Amino acid sequence: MSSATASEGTLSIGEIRTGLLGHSSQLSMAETVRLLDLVPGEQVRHAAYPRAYAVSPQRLAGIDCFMPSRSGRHVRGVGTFATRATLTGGLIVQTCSHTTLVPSSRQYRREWSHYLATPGVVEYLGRLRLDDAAEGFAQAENGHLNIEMGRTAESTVFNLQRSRLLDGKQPLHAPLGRWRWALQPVRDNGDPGLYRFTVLPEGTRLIRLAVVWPDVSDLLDLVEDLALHDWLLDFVSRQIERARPGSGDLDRTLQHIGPVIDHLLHHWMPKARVQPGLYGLWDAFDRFQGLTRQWDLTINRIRDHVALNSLRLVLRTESEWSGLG
Amino acid sequence: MLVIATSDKGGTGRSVTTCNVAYRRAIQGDDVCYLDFDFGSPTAGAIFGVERMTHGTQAEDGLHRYLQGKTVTPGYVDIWSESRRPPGTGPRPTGAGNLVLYPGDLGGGEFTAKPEVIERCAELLLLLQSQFSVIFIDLSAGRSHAAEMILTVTAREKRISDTRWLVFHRWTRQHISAAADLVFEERGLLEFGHLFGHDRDELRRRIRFVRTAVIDPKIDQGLLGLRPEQEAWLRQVDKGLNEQANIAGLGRTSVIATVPVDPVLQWREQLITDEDVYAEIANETTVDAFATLAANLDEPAAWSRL
Repeated sequence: MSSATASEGTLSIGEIRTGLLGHSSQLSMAETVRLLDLVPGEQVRHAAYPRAYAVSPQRLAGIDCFMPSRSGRHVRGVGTFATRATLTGGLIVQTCSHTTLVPSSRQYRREWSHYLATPGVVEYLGRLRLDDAAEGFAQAENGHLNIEMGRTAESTVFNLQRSRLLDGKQPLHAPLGRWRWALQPVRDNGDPGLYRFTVLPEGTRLIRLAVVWPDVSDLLDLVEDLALHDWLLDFVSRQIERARPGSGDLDRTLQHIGPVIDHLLHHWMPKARVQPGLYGLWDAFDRFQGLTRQWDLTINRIRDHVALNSLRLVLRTESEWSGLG
Repeated sequence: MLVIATSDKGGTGRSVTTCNVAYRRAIQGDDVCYLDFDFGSPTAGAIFGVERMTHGTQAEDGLHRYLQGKTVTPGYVDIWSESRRPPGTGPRPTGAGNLVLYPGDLGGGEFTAKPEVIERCAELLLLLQSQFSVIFIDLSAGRSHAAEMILTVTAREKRISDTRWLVFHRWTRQHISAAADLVFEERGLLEFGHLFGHDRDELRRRIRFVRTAVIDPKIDQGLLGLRPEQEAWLRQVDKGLNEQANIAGLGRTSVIATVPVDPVLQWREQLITDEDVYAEIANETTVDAFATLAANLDEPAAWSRL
C-alpha cells in the first residue's frame, strides 16, 4: 500500500465516492477480484470475514500544482496521488483518491523518479500552513479545485460501472456519496479530536479530523468505513422518506422499502475493517453525528412498518372473507 | 429508464416541457437526471433557474467536452440547491428524489459521432443508470449527430434497455407533418434506428408523441376571450388536425400527452411550481399535464402495443 506515514508537518487529504454497482445481485469474490484488477500484475487484496471486502491495487497520477489554501496562499506541491477502489459485500463500490503532503527537502522540483519512489505523496516547496491547507481543502466549498482528486475517484467509478461483469439490472438506484477529507496528525494527548464535519447543500460531505496514528493506509480504511456508513444511512433514510409509510399506499412502500431490505440493510457493520486502535475516532465521530442511533431508529421504523402492514393485510383479508360469508 | 426528448422543429416547447416533467418526476420520488444534449443551444440551465449556466456551463466540463474526451467526468448541478426558480427552492422537498442537471458547454456547438464519442456516451449512461431511475436526454430539434449517437448507443449497449422516445410537436399542420417526417420518413428515427441495429417495430413501440401549446376551445374560451365564431372555427380546425394526425400516424393511440397553452410558458420558459398555480399565475391544467406525463413515462397502459 502507500508507503506514506502521517507525522507532524504532514497532512493527508483525499476524496471518496461511494455508490452501488450496476448489477442485479452481489458479485462473488472471484468476480470482485476480476472487477478490481485495475493494475496489471498487481494483486487485488480481499477478505471474506467479517464480511466480503476487496481492495484494488493503487493507480497513481502525477501532479504539480498549488496546494489547497483557505487564505489563498500559493504554495507549490509536486508528487503523486493514488486512487484505489474497494468493493464491500460484492455490491457497494468505493473509490478513494488520496495523497499525503510532506515538506520537501529541496526548494526546487526534482526528477519524477524521485516522486515515484514514494507513491501517494506530494512534496510541498515552501512554507505550508497545514491548518490553512486542511481548511482550504476540506472546509471550503470549492476546496477540490486545485487538486481534482474527486474527478479521478469519480472516473474510476465510471470505469468500473461499464465492466462486462455487470448486467446493468440494479435493483436500486443510489446516488453517489461524495466525501472530501483532510486528516492532520497531532501529538498524542489522549483524546482524538474531531474538528469539523460539513454537509454542502448538494450533499457533499467535508470532514476534518485530527489523528494520532502513523499509518496512512489504516486511516484510509477508517475514512472509507465512515463514508460507507454515512452513505448507507443517508440512502436508507431517503428510501423510507420516499416510501411515505402510513400514506396507505402499500405498493409504493414496498417498491421503495423492499429492495432496501433485500440488498442493503445487512451491510451495516461499523468498524468492520478499522484497526482497533482507531475505534476511538470512529466512536467520536459517531457520538457527534449519531450514525448508529439514527440507523437503529431507521431499522426499527422499517420493521415496525413491515409488521404493521402485514397486520393490515391480514385484517383486510379477514374482513373480505367474512364479507363473502 | 432513459427518456429521450426530440422534435423536428424548434419552438415546440420540447425543452421547457421536458424540464418540467423531470421536475415533476423528481417530486414524485424518483432520482432524476437531465442531460442537455441540445448542443446547438443548451438552455436547460435557464429553464431550471440556474443563473450561472443560462447558456450552458462555463466551467469547461459540460457534456460536449466530456464526450470529446476533454474532461474525465462531466460537471453537474444539483437543482434543489442551486435553482433560483422558485426563489429559494432550498433543500429537496420531503419525499422527492434527486434532481441533477448535466449541462452542455457554453458555445459548445455540434460535433460528429465518432466511435470514441459513442463509447464515452455509453459509459456515461451506464454510470447514470446506476444512480438515477430516470435519465432525461434533451436532443436538439431536427436530425442531429446527438440523435444518431443515442440511437447507436441504445442499439449496441444491451444494458441500457429501457428506452422511451418522446417526439414533441405543436398542434399545427406544419408541425404535425414535420413530426411525422422525423419519425417515419426517409432519414427519420425509424430508418436510422434500423440502420444502427434497432428492430424497427420494437423502436416504433418506444416512440410516443407529445402535443404542445394546444388550445382547448372549451377550457380556454374564457382565458383567450374567444368569440363564438372563433370557437366554432377552432373546433373545425381541431377536427381537421385530428384527421391529419391520424393519417400521419400521430393519432390518439400514439400520443402520450397533450400540454395546454399556458401564458407562463409563452412568455418565459421556466419550471412551473405548485406555488405558481396557487398564486394563479399558471394554470392547474398545465401542471396536471406535466405530472401525468411524468407518471405515464413507465405506465404500461400508456405504452401498450399500437
